[in-house]
Amino acid sequence: MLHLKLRKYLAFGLACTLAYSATATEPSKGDWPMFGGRPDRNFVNLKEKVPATFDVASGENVRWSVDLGTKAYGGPTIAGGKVYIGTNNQNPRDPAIKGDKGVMMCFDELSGKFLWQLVFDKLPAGRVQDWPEEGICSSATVEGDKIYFVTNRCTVVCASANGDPANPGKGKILWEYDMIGKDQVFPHNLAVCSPLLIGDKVFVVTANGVDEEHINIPAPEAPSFICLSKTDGKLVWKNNLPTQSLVEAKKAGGAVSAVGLVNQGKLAMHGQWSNPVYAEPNGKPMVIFPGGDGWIYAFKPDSGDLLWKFDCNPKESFYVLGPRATRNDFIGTPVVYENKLYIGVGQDPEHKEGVGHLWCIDITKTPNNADKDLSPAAKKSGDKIESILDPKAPENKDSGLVWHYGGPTKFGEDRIYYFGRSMSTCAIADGLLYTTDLGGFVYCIDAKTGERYWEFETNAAIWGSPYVVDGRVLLGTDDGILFSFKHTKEENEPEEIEMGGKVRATPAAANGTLFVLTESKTKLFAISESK
Amino acid sequence: MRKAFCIWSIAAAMLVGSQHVNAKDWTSWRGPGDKGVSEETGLPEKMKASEPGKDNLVWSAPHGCRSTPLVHNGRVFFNSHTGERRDIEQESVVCLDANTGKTLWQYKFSVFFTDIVSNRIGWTNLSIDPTTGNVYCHGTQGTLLCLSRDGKLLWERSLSEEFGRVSGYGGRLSGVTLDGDLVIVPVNCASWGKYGRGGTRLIAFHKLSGELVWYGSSGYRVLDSFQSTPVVGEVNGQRLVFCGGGDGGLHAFKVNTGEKVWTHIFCLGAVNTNPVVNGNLVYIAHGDVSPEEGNIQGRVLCLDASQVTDGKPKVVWQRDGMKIKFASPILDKERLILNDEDGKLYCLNAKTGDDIWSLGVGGGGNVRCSPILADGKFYVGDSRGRFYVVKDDPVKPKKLGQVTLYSVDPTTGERIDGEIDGAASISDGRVFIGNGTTLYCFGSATAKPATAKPVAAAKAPSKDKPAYLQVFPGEVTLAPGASATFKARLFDAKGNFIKETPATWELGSQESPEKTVGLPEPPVVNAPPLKGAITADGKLTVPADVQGQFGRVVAKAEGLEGSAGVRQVAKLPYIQDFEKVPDNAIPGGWVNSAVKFQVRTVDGQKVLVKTATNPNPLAARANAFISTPDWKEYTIQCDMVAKKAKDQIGDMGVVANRYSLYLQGDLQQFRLVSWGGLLRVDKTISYPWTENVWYTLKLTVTQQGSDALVRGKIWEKDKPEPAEWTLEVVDKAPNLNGAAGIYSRVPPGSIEVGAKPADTKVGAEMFFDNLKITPNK
Repeated sequence: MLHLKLRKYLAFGLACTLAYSATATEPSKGDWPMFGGRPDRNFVNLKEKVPATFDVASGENVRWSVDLGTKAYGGPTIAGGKVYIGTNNQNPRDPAIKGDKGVMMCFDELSGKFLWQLVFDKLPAGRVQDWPEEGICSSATVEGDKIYFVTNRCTVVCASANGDPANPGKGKILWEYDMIGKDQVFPHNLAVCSPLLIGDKVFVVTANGVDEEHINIPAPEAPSFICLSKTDGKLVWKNNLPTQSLVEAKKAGGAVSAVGLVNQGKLAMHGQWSNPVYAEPNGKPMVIFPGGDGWIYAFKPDSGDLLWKFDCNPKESFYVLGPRATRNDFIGTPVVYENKLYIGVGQDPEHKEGVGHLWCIDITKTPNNADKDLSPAAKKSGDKIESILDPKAPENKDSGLVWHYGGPTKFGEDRIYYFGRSMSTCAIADGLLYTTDLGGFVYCIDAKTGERYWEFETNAAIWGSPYVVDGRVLLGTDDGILFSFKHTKEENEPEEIEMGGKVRATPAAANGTLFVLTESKTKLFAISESK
Repeated sequence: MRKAFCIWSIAAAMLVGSQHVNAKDWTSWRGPGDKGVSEETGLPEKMKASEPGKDNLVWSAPHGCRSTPLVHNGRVFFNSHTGERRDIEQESVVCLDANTGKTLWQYKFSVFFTDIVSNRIGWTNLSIDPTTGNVYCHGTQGTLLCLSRDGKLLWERSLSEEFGRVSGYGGRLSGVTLDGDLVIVPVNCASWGKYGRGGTRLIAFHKLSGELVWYGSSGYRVLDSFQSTPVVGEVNGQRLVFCGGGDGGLHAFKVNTGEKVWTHIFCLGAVNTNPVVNGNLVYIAHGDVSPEEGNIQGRVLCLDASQVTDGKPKVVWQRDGMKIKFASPILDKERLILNDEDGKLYCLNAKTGDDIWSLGVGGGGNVRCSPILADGKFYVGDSRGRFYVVKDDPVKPKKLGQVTLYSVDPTTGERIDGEIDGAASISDGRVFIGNGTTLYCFGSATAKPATAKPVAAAKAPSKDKPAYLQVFPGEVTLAPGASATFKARLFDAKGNFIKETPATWELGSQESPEKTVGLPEPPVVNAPPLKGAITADGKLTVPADVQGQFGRVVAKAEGLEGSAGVRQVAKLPYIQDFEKVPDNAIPGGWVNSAVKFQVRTVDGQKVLVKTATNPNPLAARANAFISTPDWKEYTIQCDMVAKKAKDQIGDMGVVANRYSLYLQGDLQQFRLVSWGGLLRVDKTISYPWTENVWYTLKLTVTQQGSDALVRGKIWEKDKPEPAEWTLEVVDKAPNLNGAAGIYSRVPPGSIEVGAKPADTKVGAEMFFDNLKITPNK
């Protein structure tokens, strides 16, 4: 245990002394303090060594495990000697608090000892705004002695990492920003964003979306993206671009067709459940938001001025509920790697599988059109419109398209599309991009060219993301298997590790320990070499 | 209720003669005995969706089939989506020739009052009465149909308009179950009187006449829409109907009376699986969260229904951790086989719950197809359209074959994921399975159909002591001056029929809403007794001059008392200014209105208020139904005003013939729509309007050839009525009749929610006044 204690000491010391670097490509220490580890959201950890083998049934190399509530989706974050995880209240740490709640729990990183929790009531509107028993799905972002997360009540919370010393076992909220009360946000099903912290600001996707009829967006004026002051939770700027077309249509008079706007790619389809990412290409800072309308938007962090936008759906796509739809939004989070942005589109898994697209976007480009649009060009013939997805096409010379992977296959092929709707965030290391689709395929793709090196079918639904660590690519599935591939462009047979529950969140490595979250049994495992 | 005939005889109803059921038929979706098992042999091991005559494909038919195809006497029946264009999309019952796949008939019916989208309609399973061949369908919109085997409508009821049934938006709704003379349908509903607040309920109708026989209410709060279909079994001489609910429970009712025997709450969400019954043992499963503390989802349960203490059945065994969220189990002798949401098959010892084997079969998540067992093989599909054959084995089953059944995009012709959501059915050596766009029939040449089996003869009447008096029909809806004749029927303590009995009849008042676990204490309603006259032989006549009332007829005999609900609706013309309605009440005869609406005195004037204290859409948004669904050729007009709260105003309007005409607050529009989930009919214009201004809305529907001409207008109340109609639609898939109603939706965000319910501030209410419904001619 000595080395772990030393690491903890070092980690804590570093946290206290090193200023946070927003542009770092690797964590400055062994912590994993946010969803994706860093503001580039890349699930890659090239520093850590984690056990090659472990067995949760026998306890081999399992340092500790804790039981959570029945559901926990967000994935753990680890910083300052503590582990943070959102869950529900079905395994209550406080016997006085009963019933369905959203809970953010904090555990000791080394021992797994429960330290404190913050508990939030459910919203009374029910499943349309706050789905029963889903708990808190936001992964906390940790900086120094404060954590930031989004609650099931659609609030952004800044809390003390040390809990409330006056009330052992309880957390202490430093400020809370109510996106419903202040901005009239209508969170569809649940607010889940894992906040992005850059400098003195917090960036959040609000979850604003449709009402229970699933067509109208009741609060189009409400922001999809907000920027708050980190110190006091005051609003700095907000933006409603994914729903602004509805506001404009209302102002313009005449009948407003939400369905029509969605199918023109101008309006959010459902909810907004992805996370913002930060980049600084050529020293130019930008915070990049995924919109519920299937567009990626980049803003100046300080002012909220739009820098560019990119449509991640072919112009000819359309949206209906179910597998037939070709238009998607985002469940996975965009990743920035070597001045490019990578994102696969997807949908609520309840809508099933369907055709998907994986995009590589050049974020150094400055659009020269008034709309700041970097999307690929489209050709029109008569009523038909079709996106030109070849980056080399002359029409795309000003576009940000580097490459595109996906779309329907040709008739006669075994699969009907090259890439399905995805819930994964890409992991990119050494020029290799790993991602998955909901239908259970894992892909290894050349990050520069979009060339596919290999794919592997897990035969299970995939909700989480690949995680590159210690020469391996780890990936959990709904069948309760953690697949472990070699990190290589050569096709390889993965090892399969039984986890005893669905693996829906992405694993995280910190300070020599691999953290894996399972669902039903819902547990957080801390895995490190036994001594 | 539309009745093509109404022959009613208690004697005929209670005594079913000895008959044979053709065992090759598959008349309920889980097959003979509702266990998911067929006795047929020689069924195909391998198959391809190639061309008929090859690779064991007998035929395929271009009908989407999200439900389970049923087979009866050479015909295949299923519920399906239909309509190649949005404006004519409908639901339908389809009948094909089982040998050729040729369409014999298709009965189309409209979808309305639901947020469920096109590709999720037609998900409820049908049921076929083997003795008459009649086909029963509970549609997405709440239409309950009884069709002859030749597709003729025998009767129909509209559960949404008559009983305040709600659909939710997921599309998972229960099919119907037949037993004896009853067709039993599970719903979440809020009608009136005792059942005026929301609840998970079974409603039983007479299968030949469509008359309501009983309500069975779970008594627990609704959590979600649900898909469990009732299964009937005999326990200790007591015939019980078991069904999972939208309240997270498994409930047992006496099948003849609807009296609840017990409830076992075992889930915090909807129960979507069917129970299976074997003697005294009842099995059921869920894939959601269980009520107890813990970190495991999903539960498989075996209860002994013969051992009930304090209203709770004995738990024989319980297994946690298998997420059986959608698919119903197979019971094969001493084995229980279940398919989890990831397509993994589990085989358990049905006596002990111990593991026998498990096998990953389907994939892709959200696996909803229930497996069946036939000829030593399991047939099961998944949500990617893959259909699997698995060889059964006591120890180690294995996959024999699989075929991918892609759907075909109707507009582009491209392949799309097939989504197998219904189960397979087996008949006459064939395997029937559907996906989003196609129904397939597979079969090999070696099939041997099972032989016919005698149907258990109906029981002779009980000779035990009477313990329950049932008044039949259990609820009637009458127009002014109309009559209905009631019968008093005696049942023993086990719910077995004894006899019809003479009774003394009197008129009673409506009951207060029943208590519901999870909801606040219900209000006590002190209503006057029903106005009308009832004869000594149970013939009720309601007054001709009363425009709506609620009450009961009460029968007393042999020391027992029973009652039936009476809802009297208005006749045309109907003028309602609410002045005679007591504060906090609703007008007589209106359903789906209690709690959601109430009459209030505002500035000395009585108005109908859409209440705004609960942001849950089930309460915040409602159609108050005024009339029966058979009203046609009428015009509805009403004054209305919206209040603002938290800078938001709601939606308000009127309803006629299943079309809604309303003002939309947030988008400042005036709309004429039908089927909100699809907007099949959608005529919308910009209409800037404000709170605190009274508007008058007028909606009329009239038949024009075979179409419906639907017209709406609006004006500020104090201004003259414009001559022109504001919105006009000619509907080619017309709704020529439908209940009159008031529509209102409170924006959830307008209700400021406090830490305690008492702190909650009232949101954006709406007031209605001067309602006029007049005949068109």
